[in-house]
Amino acid sequence: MQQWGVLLLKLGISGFAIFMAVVVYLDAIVVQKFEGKKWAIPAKVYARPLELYEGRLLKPGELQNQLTRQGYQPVRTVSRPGTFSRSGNEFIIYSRGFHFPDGTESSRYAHVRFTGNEVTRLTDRQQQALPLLRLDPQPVGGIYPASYEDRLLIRLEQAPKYLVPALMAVEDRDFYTHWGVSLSSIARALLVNVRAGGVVQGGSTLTQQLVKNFYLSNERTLTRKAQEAIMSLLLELHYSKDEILETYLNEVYLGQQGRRAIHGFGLASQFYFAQPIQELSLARTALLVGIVRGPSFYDPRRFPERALQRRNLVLDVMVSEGLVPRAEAERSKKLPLGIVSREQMQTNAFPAYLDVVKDQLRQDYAERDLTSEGLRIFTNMDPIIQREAQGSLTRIINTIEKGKLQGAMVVTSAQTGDLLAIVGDKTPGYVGFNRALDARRPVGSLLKPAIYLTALEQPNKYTLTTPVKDSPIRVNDGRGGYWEPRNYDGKSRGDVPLYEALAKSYNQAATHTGMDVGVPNVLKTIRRLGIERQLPNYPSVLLGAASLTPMDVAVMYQTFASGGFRMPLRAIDAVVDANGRPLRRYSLSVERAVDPAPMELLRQSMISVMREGTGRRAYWSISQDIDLAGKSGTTNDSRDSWFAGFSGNLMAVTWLGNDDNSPTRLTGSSGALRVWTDLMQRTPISGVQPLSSDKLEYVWVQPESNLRSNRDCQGARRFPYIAGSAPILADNCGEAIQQQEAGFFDTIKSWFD
Amino acid sequence: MHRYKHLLRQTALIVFTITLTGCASTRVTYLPTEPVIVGSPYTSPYTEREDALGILLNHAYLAIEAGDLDQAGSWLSRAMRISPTEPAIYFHMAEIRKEQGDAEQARQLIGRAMSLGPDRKMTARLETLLESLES
Repeated sequence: MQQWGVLLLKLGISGFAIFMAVVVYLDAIVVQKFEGKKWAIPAKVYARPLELYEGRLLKPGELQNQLTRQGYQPVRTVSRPGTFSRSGNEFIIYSRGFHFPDGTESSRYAHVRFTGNEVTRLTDRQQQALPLLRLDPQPVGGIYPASYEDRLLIRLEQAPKYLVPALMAVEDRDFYTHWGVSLSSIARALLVNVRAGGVVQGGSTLTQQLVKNFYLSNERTLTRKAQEAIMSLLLELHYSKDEILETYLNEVYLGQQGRRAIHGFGLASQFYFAQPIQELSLARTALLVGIVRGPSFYDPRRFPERALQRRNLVLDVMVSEGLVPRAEAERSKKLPLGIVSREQMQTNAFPAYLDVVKDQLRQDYAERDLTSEGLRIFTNMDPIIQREAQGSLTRIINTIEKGKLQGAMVVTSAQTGDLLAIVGDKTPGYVGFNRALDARRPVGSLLKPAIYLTALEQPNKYTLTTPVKDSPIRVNDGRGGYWEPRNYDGKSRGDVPLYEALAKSYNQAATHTGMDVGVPNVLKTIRRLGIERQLPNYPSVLLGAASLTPMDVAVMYQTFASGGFRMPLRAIDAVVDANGRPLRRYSLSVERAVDPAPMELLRQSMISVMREGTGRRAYWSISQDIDLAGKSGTTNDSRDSWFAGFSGNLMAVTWLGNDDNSPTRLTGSSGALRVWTDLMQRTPISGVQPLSSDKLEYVWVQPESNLRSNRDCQGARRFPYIAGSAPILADNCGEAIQQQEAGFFDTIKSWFD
Repeated sequence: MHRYKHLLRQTALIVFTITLTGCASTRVTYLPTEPVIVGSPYTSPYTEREDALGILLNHAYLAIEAGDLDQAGSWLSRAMRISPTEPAIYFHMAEIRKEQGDAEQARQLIGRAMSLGPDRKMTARLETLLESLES
């Protein structure tokens, strides 16, 4: 008997020791995970912020759309951040505060007045002039770890007024008094479940729910239940209620989008309403609290009816708990759910742009840091231009052919190389083959400007009006055969002025010029312009047999657009760490690649492309007052349709073609140019400005005869020349022109002056 | 009594010395950092400006004067988005690069500013800056 007692005692002691060991072990787990970095936070990517100031060109409708996309609520009386009102051309915007890499922007109340498409007045609440209004930037995506767990951390103080009370009313009434496990709620749940004959109500406290999600796997066994209870008690022992609650608010699973798992109320608020959590109304708070019980069962996007009922139930519970007056709850119950659309869900709505961002980031950061350190990436993406560019490409392709025709587009800021938009597919939001980066296609005539630039850099031999031979030519192709390029229409035009040869894109003239300056020299020019890919040293390269991606072409045309300066195309503006400290800024760096004088000559001939050459179709819809410059490209059998060009402020490259490389029946002008033009006419653009250089002089000439001319003579045009290279011989209007006829032509000419 | 007085004076002297050297004495209170008087000895040419570009250039100017080059760069980046062909922006960026010891990039930015048709005053400032790089 006594032996039994001793044994029992021994067993008891060892059992207790084992139990204590388990407790100590669990305690270590509880503390370790809670004290350390709790979560891997994916990097957040932001578009460039919308900035308003007097003189800013923007359509009022675009401003309204952008505000709505960023979750600004349209209201009658503007009284809190994140709201706006509009009456006609007058907006009142209460902007949100935001921590930018260069400092904090406070929340501001501003009056914005438009006249047409221009902001003409910007004032604060007291009607004092406000020089600048910078809105918070639109989040456009994230860089996720393999688990695809995403969250946006919030502090307890940031929770909207009703969130915690509602959460406790619905999930855990005794949260602030129990020790982690609540016997009364277990008893209550048991009673309810027995009566209902199944699991209807969970008896888990918020602490237990947190333990379950944060520490444990998702199995339902008795041992695990015990483990959960012990850990809950331990958690309560170590940490305050507020610490536990804050962790709960950030941990709780609240939704799913594809592979991406939405955790925490901070992100859920963005995910469902595109709003920061602080701004949530009672009704929206109630919906989020309702979703906690079953994020897929109550998914407001898939089951709006069910979610609405659940929300209203939460509101009812809040009334019965005395948290809100009945009347207010009833008002909230009448409101729609207020769920935002796909783009506003701020998942990667612009995957093509995100591809470039990731590429550029991986040069400076480890994948692990990108997916876990909570970095914030500020990009140069202009959300309005990005949407317009995608819209133009999608719309025009669908007008041309509702089939397999595909396309891509790259848009930059013409002077600075900021990458404003990338379109990689005709379907908006398409994730997959990104043609802007990865479709390497023959570029056709897009390389011709490099030929003529090489020529114009030799002013003693070539000027804009130098006659170049547009005649049949047979060239050793460097591979044991001959190459005999033909013009697009099969005709040869004899001698043509150089600028016109480019404007009309004559292949034979380009080949003669290219062979004269030498293929290797043209290739050097192309490299100087920014193309790093090695191109084959064959004459056919002159007419674009080489394959490049739209992004490659953009680098080259950026150098033209900026007046001869090579600059990297920058997708990223700045990166800051989780605490808002700037890690890196990507500021402008430039390198002179071409002297301004020959550059200006080339730009003039690229303006001629638009005025009188293959790009003139652009002026069907764009004002003649604006100088545009560009070049079209078409490849054999019309397999590729290219257009690359710029205004004073935007540079854009467009490609259309079939992925299987079959013919499209499109030229650069009938395909890609239409997309390019569509974008340019939808966005505010300025004209191309001439470059200033003291080496340039402007001379009136007769381009056909390449002779100096009196400005009053018929056909006289003013061209820039590098000093000393202008024609010396003069043609005094020819003999045929009579005095009074000259007067007549003067009149006509004056119409165009 | 006299001894006592002497001791007191010695003690006072030691305390005073400690205070002066400030070594590890917790009672020493430091004056707050002097506010930086920015703009001296030159005044910002943009103080009178009230337009967005002018305000940003003014901020950038003051930040450069105060030696906060990163902040100045941020102001200029913002200014550049508003008015990418303003030569003054590239001029100040060149100043920043010069301060950072990147003379080559400073030269390039001066060239960029020159290509944007600066007025006579700005041309003179650009030339002066360029000369200062050469010396």
